[in-house]
Amino acid sequence: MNRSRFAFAALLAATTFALTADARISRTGTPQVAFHASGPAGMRIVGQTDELDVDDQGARVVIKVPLRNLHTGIDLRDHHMRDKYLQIGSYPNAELTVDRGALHFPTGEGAVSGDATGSMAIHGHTKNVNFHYTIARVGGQLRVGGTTHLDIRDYGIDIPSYLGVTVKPDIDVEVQFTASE
Amino acid sequence: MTSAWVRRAISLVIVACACAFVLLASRPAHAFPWMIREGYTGCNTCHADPSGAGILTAYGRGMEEVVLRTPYKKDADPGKLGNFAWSVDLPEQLLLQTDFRNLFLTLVPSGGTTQFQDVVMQLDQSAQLKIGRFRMNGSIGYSPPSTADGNFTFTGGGLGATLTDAPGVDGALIARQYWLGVDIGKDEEFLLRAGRMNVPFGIRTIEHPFLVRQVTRTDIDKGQEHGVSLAYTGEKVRGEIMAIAGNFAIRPDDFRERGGSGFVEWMPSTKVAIGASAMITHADQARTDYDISLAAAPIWRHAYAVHARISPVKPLVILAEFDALLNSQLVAGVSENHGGVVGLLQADLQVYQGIHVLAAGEFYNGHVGETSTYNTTTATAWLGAWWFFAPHLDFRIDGVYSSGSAPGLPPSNQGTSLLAQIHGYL
Repeated sequence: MNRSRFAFAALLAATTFALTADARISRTGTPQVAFHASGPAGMRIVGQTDELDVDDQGARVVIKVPLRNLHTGIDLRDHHMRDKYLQIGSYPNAELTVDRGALHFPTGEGAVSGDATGSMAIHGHTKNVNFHYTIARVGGQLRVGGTTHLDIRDYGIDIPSYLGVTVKPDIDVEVQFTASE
Repeated sequence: MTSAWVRRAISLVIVACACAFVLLASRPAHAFPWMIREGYTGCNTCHADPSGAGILTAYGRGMEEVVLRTPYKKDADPGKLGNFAWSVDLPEQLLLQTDFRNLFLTLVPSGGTTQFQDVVMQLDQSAQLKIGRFRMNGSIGYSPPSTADGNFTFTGGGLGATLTDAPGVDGALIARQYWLGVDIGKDEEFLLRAGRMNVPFGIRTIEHPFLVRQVTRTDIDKGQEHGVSLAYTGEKVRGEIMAIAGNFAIRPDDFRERGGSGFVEWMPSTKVAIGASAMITHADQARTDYDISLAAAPIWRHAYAVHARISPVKPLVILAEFDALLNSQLVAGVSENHGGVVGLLQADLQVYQGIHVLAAGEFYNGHVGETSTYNTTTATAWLGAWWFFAPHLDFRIDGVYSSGSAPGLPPSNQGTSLLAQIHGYL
């Protein structure tokens, strides 16, 4: 179950989003951040949080996912994940930093999707990650979705293991949020 | 009467000694398809049997303490409490489990005299030894002899899994499972095994009297068969197929069913599982004692099922199974094909961790479209409560009303049953 803990990391990653050239964006609504981890024997772990912040700094955009309320559905597993593996006391957030120029935005109503590279910081380690994103402009709002794949070992996170069950280090992260320009 | 009480006392002493030896024992203990509420769609993370039920893995023991039992301290790490005998660190290659399950049953038949039964449903010692990819798994148990005193009966369970002949004054040895297996694949996602095993069909549940399990003879109490099986567990698909060589606890050989059975289950999310099963067996002689509608002749028995396990919200799990049945016999040169259906709808509501309220409805129709004069339609309603109240211990009460009988159940099954069970394991 501990394996799940790591998962946290994942969440942040996915955050891809698009911004238009000059307009600053800010998050609206309730975001959805999830990571998907797996273990032996078909075991699947899904961790979720609805906390995500967008910091549009102009030349780049930082997506920050607080990890304190990351839940996998089992309290003890969450406890292990946050304290033993993510160590959120020292590393409370996962952050994806993306150059604005790496993102494409729809012109007018519509949607665009693409792949980009950003800098992911988790557990005190930073590594470039590739992610896939979709940005749709609907009614003046941007609906942003992103997915990425992480290896928790890249971030110095121990591979979770509990009572003989060890989680695989690879996790998938997906993020969805809306933003206003 | 005195003799009966003496025998009962001896049996109780034997039971107590066995309990003291490894402490408590229970039956094909555990088989909780509603664990999907915790996101566990498959079974073999927690069970040695890839399709569920039986001896727990170390992780399964831990999860029983973490998510199954009522917690008395928030977020408490159970530590070694889930270990064998609450504290023993076993080598990782070895699994041990001693189970005890006792049922006190009150039968209130329609128009009859109330009967009371004390049933030692399970007193089993299970073990698995795994060396590399090879596994040796088995259980041995004891079923005490039956005694009767007026409207009270004391008896044992699992008599369809006896190693010995019909239980006599000394009771019977029970061996529900024993098999050799080898894990195959990069992640050991396949298990090939041979021996006596649970039959892969439908929802594997601990409620072995459910009509869907009794009619199809696929319960985990005594419905195991000898054979060879291959199981697969992936993240979104799992299944098992078994070549059935017969239940060698049944004699003579003419009554042994041979054929195949299997299921496949698709888990599109961690809260939804949908499955299908099929079973075809042949026996040289039909079990007319099991199903009085059958003729004393060779039989092909078919069963095809669809099932679902869904947890729309964490406290609630819905289990549903629908089976189509066909018994095909050649009687005096004339082919007789008897169709049937049996279904189950169960809701498990966890009102607080470790405390469950269960409701189930079942139906069975034994001769759909038949011209035979024998036509059984039975409906059953269950309502129960279950409390996993302490480490390795749970208590359950059920009330069951049945409108009639079905294959595998007593012919005069109509009436109400009140059940109280205590289960513990080491």
